[in-house]
Amino acid sequence: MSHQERASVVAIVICLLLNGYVSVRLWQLYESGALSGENAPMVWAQSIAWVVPAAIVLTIVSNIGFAIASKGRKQKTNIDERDHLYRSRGMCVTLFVFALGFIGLLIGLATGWSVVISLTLLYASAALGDLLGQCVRLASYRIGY
Amino acid sequence: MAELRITNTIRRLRFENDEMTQQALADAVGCTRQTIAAIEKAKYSPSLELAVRIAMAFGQPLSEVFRFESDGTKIEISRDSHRDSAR
Repeated sequence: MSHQERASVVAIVICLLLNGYVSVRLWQLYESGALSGENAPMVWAQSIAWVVPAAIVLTIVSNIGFAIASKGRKQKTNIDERDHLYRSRGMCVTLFVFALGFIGLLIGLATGWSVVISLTLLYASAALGDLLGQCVRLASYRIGY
Repeated sequence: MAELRITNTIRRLRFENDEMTQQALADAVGCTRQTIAAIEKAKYSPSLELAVRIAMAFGQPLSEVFRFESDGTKIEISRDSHRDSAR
């Protein structure tokens, strides 16, 4: 498994862990009624805001962990045209799913959904887009073309 | 239009060049070993630039390294074949 493939696997695992936790947390808040009322967008944002820095820290920590685990083995981390192609392919999928979520947000707000539900839809599309993009990237490495 | 299949002789050329490793070829042409492996297995078609670099690494013309087949028939790439198809 190349460095780039491993990076995709790590990204998929981190994405599943973080977004799984966020989903559970948001559901708990929804059940407790914290996501309704005037302060709902603020509560929602506070429960989501930590995800991006957490993803960055987890990625760095996991990469350091892999580097320590593979100590002594020759690691090639350079990127070539195939990596760029597969990265672009994954990015296309990510942006497409995110764009669908953004359109969903607009439609939701236009038809009277609450701001929190609409923002959750946007967040879910970003998370799903990231996951699918990484899966497409990994599948491209595994299957080829 | 018939489907065009690209095959290559990289594996044979590597062995004919003092059993050159995939990593050595990758270093010579500026890509990763995994990309060379994918090209050899016909799982990835390289860019024209990389294809030329690979041919140059073996000191062979491009048509000697990469070959085109259509419906099981080998297609020769030459000035004459271009003229024939243009007619």
